[in-house]
Amino acid sequence: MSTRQKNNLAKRALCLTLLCLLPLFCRANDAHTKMQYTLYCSGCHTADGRGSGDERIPDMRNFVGYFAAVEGGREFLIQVPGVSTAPLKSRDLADIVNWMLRTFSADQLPDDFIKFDEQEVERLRHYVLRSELGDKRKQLVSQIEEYKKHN
Amino acid sequence: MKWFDKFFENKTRNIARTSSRRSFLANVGKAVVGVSVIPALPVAKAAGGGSSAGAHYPGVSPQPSDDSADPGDPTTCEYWRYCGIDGFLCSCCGGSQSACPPGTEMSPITWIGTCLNPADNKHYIISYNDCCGKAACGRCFCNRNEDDTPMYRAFTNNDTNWCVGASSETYVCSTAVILGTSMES
Repeated sequence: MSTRQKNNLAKRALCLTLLCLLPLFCRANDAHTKMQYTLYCSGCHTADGRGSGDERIPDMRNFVGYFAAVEGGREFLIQVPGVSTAPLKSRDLADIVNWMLRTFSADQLPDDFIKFDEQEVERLRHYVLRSELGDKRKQLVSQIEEYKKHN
Repeated sequence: MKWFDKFFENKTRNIARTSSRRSFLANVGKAVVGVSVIPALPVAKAAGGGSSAGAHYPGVSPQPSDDSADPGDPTTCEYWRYCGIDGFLCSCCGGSQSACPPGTEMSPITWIGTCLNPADNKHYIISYNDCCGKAACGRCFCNRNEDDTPMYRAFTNNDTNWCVGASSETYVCSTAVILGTSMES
């Protein structure tokens, strides 16, 4: 075997090893996201996303994904004060929101859903919904009810 | 009554003869300083209880842990999980560090922080669920406030009454439930 062949083989072996390790990294990342959700969100939203049981902290399970399907909902998901003012970097925040949508409400996400990335979160979170939060949510929920009829 | 007058006249004259106004003032000064210093002495603190080291709330027997991985006594404020607590310890109120006393309900929403476990030097995620019911427990008040944030960051503020999520909004006591380990401190 020539030196070049040996080199090629070594490169291939390295690539294969890295490829095998990839799922490990991804899972570690997910665990980190879940930990951050536990630390920064689950106090109010609870570990499984069911919330407080009244309208103050609504149930996210099998529902929160609908927001990504209606107009203005995508912005709302980032601009609610709990998300936009969280003491977290936009990159982590994007991971957490994606994880929440996937974990609590995967079936309600639209087929063409594009994951949030750092840049989008950074851009959207500059605007924080304050006094108009309740009205905005009501409006979006009625849009969602309309959306459900057709889908 | 003559002997009575005589007695006090003698005493008064005696005092006037043997003491000066300045020494009287000096003695009063000593008494004032002395009395104010006594409660600051470590002996007085240990007897008085409260949040000083190893102190026990009167009437609550110690519950030292047998588990070397979870060291300390959950009826004392120094127990490691209580690093961010503010309230009455449920361990002193008929519950435990992770369970509410009978007749109370654990609030579904809570504030969450991390504490360092001295046994393995890892940071654990701790959920300070309040127990809610008829009346405040009143035993073993503990306020440590590590990681506590001001009211405008309500999600990590321990002055909030977290019983707003339970059926009774009356606060009874606080628990410290472990949710997992934290990868960041």
